[in-house]
Amino acid sequence: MSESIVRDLFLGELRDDLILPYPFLDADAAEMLGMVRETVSRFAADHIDPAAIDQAHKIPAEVFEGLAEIGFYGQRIPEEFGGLDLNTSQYVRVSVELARIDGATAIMSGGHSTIGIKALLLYGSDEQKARYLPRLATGELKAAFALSEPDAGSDAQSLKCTAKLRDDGAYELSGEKLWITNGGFADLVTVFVRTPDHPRDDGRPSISCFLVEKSMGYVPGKEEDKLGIRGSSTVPLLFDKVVVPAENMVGKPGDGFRMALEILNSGRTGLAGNCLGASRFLLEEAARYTNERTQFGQPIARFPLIQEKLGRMAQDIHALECMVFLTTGLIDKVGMAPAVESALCKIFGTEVLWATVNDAVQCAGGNGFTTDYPFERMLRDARVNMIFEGTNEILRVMVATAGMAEPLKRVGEADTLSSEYGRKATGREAPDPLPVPEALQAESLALSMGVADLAQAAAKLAAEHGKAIRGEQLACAALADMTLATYAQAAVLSRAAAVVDAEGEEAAAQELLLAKGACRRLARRGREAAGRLRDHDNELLFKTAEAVSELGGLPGERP
Amino acid sequence: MNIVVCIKRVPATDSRIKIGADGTSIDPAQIEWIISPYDEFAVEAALQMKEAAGGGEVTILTLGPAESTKELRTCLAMGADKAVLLKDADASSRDATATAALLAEAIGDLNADLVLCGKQAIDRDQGQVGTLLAAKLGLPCVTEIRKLEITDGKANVERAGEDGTSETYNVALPAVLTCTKGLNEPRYASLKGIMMAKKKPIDERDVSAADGALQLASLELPPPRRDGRIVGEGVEAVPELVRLLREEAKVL
Repeated sequence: MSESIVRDLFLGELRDDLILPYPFLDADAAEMLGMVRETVSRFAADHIDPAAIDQAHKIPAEVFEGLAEIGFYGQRIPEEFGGLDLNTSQYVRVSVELARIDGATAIMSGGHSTIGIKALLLYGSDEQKARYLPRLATGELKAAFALSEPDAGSDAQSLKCTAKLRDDGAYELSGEKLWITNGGFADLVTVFVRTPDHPRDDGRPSISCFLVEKSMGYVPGKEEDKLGIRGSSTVPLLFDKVVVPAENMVGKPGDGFRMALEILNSGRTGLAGNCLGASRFLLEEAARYTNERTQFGQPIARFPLIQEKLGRMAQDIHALECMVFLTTGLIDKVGMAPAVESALCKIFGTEVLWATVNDAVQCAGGNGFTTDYPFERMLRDARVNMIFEGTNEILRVMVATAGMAEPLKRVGEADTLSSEYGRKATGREAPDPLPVPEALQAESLALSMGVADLAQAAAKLAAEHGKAIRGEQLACAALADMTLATYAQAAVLSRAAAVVDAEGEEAAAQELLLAKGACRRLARRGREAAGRLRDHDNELLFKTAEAVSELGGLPGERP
Repeated sequence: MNIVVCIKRVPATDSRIKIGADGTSIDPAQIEWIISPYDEFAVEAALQMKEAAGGGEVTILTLGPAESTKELRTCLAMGADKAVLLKDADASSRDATATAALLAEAIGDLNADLVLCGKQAIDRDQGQVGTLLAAKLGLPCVTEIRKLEITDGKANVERAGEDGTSETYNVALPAVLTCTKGLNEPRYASLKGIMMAKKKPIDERDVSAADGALQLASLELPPPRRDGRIVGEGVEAVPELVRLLREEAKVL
């Protein structure tokens, strides 16, 4: 397991060796990205009409073809197979650009590049790569990823689709997959199935991964009629004794579930990038609308309740951008396991977008509610992000569980109290503040206090609940929110420090303004989450929920 | 065939222009820069000719600040073979004569069979550089071409003439042609092309020029649009409206 900023936050440590310096793109990569951005935005302006895609429930063929022409499908594929071999920092920045324009097209692209081809890229054999990657790079083949089933959603490990080994050495796949992005048109699907012929140590059937071509005979079901991203394809896939040759198994038998989790973990920064792109676009649209819309003799952008919205949207989006690019930079530079940090990016990204689109709709008033403006469509498109690629609930528990692993070990050890960790865990010591410019000293101190609070809360919960903490979902969520706040503050400070170093305090005035506001907002959010651990009415909530479940609605109704 | 295309880095059309402190230049802060759109027609034409001929070389030439490598790189990403940057921090204050002289000097080394330019850059809109360049090089010039074919070592070009007529010329090569809308649809730089552009050469040369014959004395933004005026309501307002349109706005 490689290094993690977040796991050390739970121990009261601020890893300035990983947090600093902020990983800006170098000049060459930045110039390249500028060109990519220009290509994408010009292509989009000429060919992508998000409102039409939403209404038609379909991305038109010319968009698919145009994206192929500009080389969009090969972004993550190595150059030797005809791709561009973009690293995560570059790929996510390109995702940001497409997501500004259309949510459905962004999801289609991510379904291909982020999860669809990932098993092949990470675990495929040389022969498998040579067989499929060149055609995936040109877009001749489009990819999808199939894990979920009707009875296996968040609990993916309970999947039932099965591959039986036949006498001729091939496998026969049967079962149903659900919610398959790109499933309606994909030519190659990464499918996770039970393999009873390769039992686990406990005798239960293991999970393995196969590359299944459409021509092998699975049947896509009816397109789901969705709230948002209506132009994207989401279908069930039906497997009725589909024969798949043994050479299409990816990795070793029984490795499927670990692979599925790693693919999802590694892909979440891409989704966060989508959310960043959509949020930035919404902020620009809201800025324009509130400048142009005049009431009581002045643009509504001058009214404090509108300014509050524009200000907090900008602060949140800035924090999200810092967090996503700090994370992608770490993935590329340190090659660290990005599971927890990526999960935080996904949680924060999807929730910042949801808050942003909600504020933007409100800024636009009645117009925000109509299809004459992009706001209502983007609100519908934004909602699913909090659900798929791991619900934000499951991810919060995952963040807390991963973070708690080390405190759980250490609180039980005899010499803990007298150790450095002991001093952090009992609130006697806070981590050294990140070295940042003078102007951000107060924010840096606040971050140290936030990390100290997190370490203390983690130690207390570890002592109280032990390994059962995973079941204390509300406490886990509070811990995850404290983690999110501190990780985001660290990212914002990292970027601001780099900008001030490079440009000087005067030139960095806007960066400092954003950083200060974002840090304070995040610190407040962290303190609020810490407060939820101490001051809550969870018992009342649980009892009420039980009554609701039992009565099937509001308890105690009176005429 | 060696084709040289001259391009210029200009502010994007939707930029909010501010006048710089010196009163004669545009404040570069917060501006997005692009290749002047007419120059893109020239680049596309060059690439199409090279592709049709199955060979040859397309060289992109610009006079501009060091940052112009971005626009050159974009042309390389579209498919051009190499680029020359005449680095001049004061490029924006050079007049057309000085600009043409510097470009002509560079083209002298490039052994060009054909030189293509946009009909004008969309920042100053003077439309002089192409013709001045032809004069400096002693080459024939056709401006604002909207069709181009090369046959038997000659360029057959079409341009719009007076009153909607079409003029077609046969031009001996080498020649200078300036391009306008309708000539083609410029391609996007593909992502693959962008990656490959990294490996293509940009020849950066420091240049300096004597002051040109023209000195820009001042640069001013257009006056802000005046507020609308309501002259009355319904049918009664029509005579007054007509009077104002005729006498004040002078549009009738």
